[in-house]
Amino acid sequence: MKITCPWCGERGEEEFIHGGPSNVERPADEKNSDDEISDAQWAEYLFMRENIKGVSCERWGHIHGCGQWFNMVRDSVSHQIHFIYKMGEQPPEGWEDVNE
Amino acid sequence: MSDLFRLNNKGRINYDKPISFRFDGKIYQGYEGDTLASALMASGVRIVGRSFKYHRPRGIFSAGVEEANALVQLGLPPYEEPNVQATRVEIYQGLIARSVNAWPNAAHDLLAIVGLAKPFFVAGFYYKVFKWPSWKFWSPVVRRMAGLGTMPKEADPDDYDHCHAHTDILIVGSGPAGLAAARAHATSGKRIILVEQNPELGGSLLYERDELDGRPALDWVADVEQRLREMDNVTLLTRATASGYYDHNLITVSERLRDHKGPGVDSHMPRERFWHIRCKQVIVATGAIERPLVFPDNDRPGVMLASAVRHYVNRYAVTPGRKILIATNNDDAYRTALDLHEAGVQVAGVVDARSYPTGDLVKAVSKAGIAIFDGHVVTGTIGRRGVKSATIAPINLNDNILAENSQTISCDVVATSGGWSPVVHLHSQSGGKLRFDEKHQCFVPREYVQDNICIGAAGGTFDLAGCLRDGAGKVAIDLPKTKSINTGPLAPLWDIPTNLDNIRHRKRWVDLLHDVTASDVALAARENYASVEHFKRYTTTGMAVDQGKTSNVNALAILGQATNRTIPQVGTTKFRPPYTPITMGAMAARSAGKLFSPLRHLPVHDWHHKHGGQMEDFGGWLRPFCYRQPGESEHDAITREVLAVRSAVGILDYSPLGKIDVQGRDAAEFLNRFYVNNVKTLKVGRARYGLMLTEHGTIMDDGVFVRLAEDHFWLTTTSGGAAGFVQWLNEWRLCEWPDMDVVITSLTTGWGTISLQGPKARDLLSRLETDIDLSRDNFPHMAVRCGILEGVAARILRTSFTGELGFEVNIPLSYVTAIWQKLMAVGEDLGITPFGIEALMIMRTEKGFIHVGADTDRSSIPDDVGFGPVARKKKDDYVGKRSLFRPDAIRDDREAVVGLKVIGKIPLRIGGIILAPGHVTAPAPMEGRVTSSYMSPSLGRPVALGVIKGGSKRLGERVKIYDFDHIQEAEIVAPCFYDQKGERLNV
Repeated sequence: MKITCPWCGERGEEEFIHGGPSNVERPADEKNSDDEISDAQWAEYLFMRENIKGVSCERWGHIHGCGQWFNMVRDSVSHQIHFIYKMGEQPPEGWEDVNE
Repeated sequence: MSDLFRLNNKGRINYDKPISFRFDGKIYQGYEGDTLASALMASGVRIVGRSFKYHRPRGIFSAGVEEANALVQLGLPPYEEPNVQATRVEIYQGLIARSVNAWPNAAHDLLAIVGLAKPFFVAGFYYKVFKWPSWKFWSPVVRRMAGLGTMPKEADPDDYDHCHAHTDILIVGSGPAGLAAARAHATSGKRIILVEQNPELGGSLLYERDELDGRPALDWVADVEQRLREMDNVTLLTRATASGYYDHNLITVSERLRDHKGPGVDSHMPRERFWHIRCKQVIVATGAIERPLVFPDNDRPGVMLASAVRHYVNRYAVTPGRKILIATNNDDAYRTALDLHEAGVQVAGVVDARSYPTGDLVKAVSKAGIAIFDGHVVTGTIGRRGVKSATIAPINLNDNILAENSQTISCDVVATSGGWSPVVHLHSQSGGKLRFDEKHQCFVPREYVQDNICIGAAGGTFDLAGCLRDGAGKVAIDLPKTKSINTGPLAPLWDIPTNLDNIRHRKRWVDLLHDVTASDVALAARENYASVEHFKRYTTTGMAVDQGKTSNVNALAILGQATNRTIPQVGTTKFRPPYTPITMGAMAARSAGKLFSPLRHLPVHDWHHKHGGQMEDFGGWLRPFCYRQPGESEHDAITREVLAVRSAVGILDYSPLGKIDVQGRDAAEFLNRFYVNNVKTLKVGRARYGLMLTEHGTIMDDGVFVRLAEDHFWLTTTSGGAAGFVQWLNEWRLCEWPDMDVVITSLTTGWGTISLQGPKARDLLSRLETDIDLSRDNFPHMAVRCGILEGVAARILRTSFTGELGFEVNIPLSYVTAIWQKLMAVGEDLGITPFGIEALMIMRTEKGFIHVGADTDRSSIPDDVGFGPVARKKKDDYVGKRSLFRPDAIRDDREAVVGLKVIGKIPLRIGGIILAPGHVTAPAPMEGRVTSSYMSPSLGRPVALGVIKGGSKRLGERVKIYDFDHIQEAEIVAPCFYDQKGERLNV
């Protein structure tokens, strides 16, 4: 694949690593105390991932390049990359229907 | 003798350059321009190999990458290569080849006796025949008798390179379509790469007698080539095969730079370049490959593809025989009759399955006075060592019935054509879909997924004018004029009718390379291997060197007939890279030998080496295991080193230790989210030992972290974990907490570390010039001081992995050697002793310090190494904390680290199994295992660490430990054998 790093431009996929889905939210942060997160909630965060066939939001790291991380909307079947956006940004509207 | 079958025409052969070579021990001669196959053919060599299973004599079958029979072992060690297709080898002076799967040689193969056992070798025979007594018993026998070439035993001496390129348009194939495309796009200024697997451009024009603009087509090829070579935006690669098509238009191309010159010639060049070409657009002009007809004994030497026959005649000026019979179901094979006739070779006739064929080529053949047996098929060949005659009989295609009135025709070659299959491999690899073209009876590209297009025969366009038009596409260029030829339709004929017993019971070969027959296909269908992917694996059709280039479609069609399905219903197996075999060397390129996994050297590497350092690979670093003095054994050296550290002072090159600098306003808050210990309460100038966890609560790494300033930390990690931990910190910083003010810098290879360990470490260090107060009161254990040491910036940690007074001196890498040598010089009278990894491991085991990765594994949590209370007590959240409260983390039978006090004098073996109570030997339930074990020089008895269910709750218990029928006993103790009170640290 060719991936366009938002900081470096178009590069070969060997320079990148895939970091899993980008929309997983960590249920714990410094404000929460432990007992507020149930075992089930925590297990959901730790272990459960959708095995998406089609359009998925993912986190990628340009670890053999600038070292930055960014988000990508990619089709896991065709490997077509629809959008790339920076950390903290939201995917463009209508990203789910990009194949239609 | 050598030119026995050479013709008078010139072909593409350079008669001025004769080349001699050796095949199966005999010397032959050919010319520049010959392949090994054409040169052998010119010398009249008919049997070039023996078949895979039955050792049947086999002759040259094709003239290209589809060759299934003529496989050779090419070259001598160390340049040896197995299973090379003789049709692809350009001959060079001194070439040496031998046939594969034959003994003593292909012409006289004593293993042919296997052929008598034919009934045993049907599809799936491995699973059926060799069940008793076992496959283990039979496999050495079968492997010896069946199979192909032999694996080279010596390392490949050649170099290979990877080459990366970007291009606007990649054109694969330089036949009429590919060349027209190159010409059309070249003037646009776009970057173009044209790859051609042959040494010359031209594709099919190299062997067809086509004319363009009234001149030989090769004149046009030469004109176009010259024009392309003059253009800066065009790159031509010959002897280069596009082997794979991957995502986002990435094409791999293997370019053979000097195979045609012979082994060892021009060895300053790489043997092959393996290109990774990223393309905006790909134009696939890979042509088509002819299919043979299936009939009894269609594997005898002399049975060849019809196009290959004219390929040899026109390009190599050699004929495969003296009297050639042509068997076809289409018009194209008539070209072969015409070309043979033109070259003065006798044509025994054209046997055409169709009644009343009417195309222009048919008329031309008829006009030339060549007999046409229309409505006939070849029903067999005769001749033990090659075709001597063939039988033909009338066929009724509508009812699929063969008449009984056969006749015998004398001939030495049967040239067969069952139609053409477009080379859709790259298209299919790109994700593109196929459809079945009823008119041409072949699979053609249907749907494109990436930005590519198949043109010419690869796209299902078979006439020359159409190929040129395809190539030009939408670009308006002048195309050369072609003669139009009317062709009649092809008649599908996949297997000859089996209504007659004498046909049905004879072997009709479908896959020559793997010896698969039509009855094997039918048998697989009867046994319900009807899915094409199952069928392929069960019968091994389409496997190995040729990947079924001539056999696949025939096999699918016959499978379809046997299962009452059409060809599109059967479908094709997946086309996988590579298109033709590529060498392992090309894929590995420079990542071989020492560069496969480059080892990192310590800053003082040369010194270690010179002073007896036994260098070994520790996690990618070449580090001294121990330092052997003259006459000393390894064991003696290790013992001496341990005792020197315990009694005086040792010096260790600790540079691989992971070193990470973390700065920023939020540094403390940030790091507090990774350690099980409290980072925020750490005072400036102090150090703490900590564990870092994964989000699953398991131990990722351990190390000492120190606070250099309120907003400045220095972390150490294990040498193997350093890179991963930096990446881990950065991923969290960038993805989860992007607002925190933190900068993370890896200094592992920027700074070196010299560790001084032992009661005299302070004496030694204070002999260097420094502004750091090294006194016991002002520089306590687990403290850090920054300052100047011998004029160099230094960060010194007072810490210990040996249990002795210790200083870790960190200095910029380039000064490490100088400081090391200075310490060695000033410490001589103190007994300074360099020590290696083994001594370090012994001393930390004596102290019960865990080694992450040895005493822990990927499932260990803080509780398992005695850090449970610390980790749970910490109030703030950190990565992995919540997981420590999961039921699995709080069960009380977890395997935890303990000390093992051995009963007796023999150390335990690492990996030994701790048996459940009440068991005296294996098999028994496993309670734990030994993770670290040494003979302790300090204590004079064995020491060991292990993990056991329940951990420290079982102190005092005696356990049995089993390892390979060896039983020992040990007492579970606290994991510290030496200086339990830690008094030696606080001196």
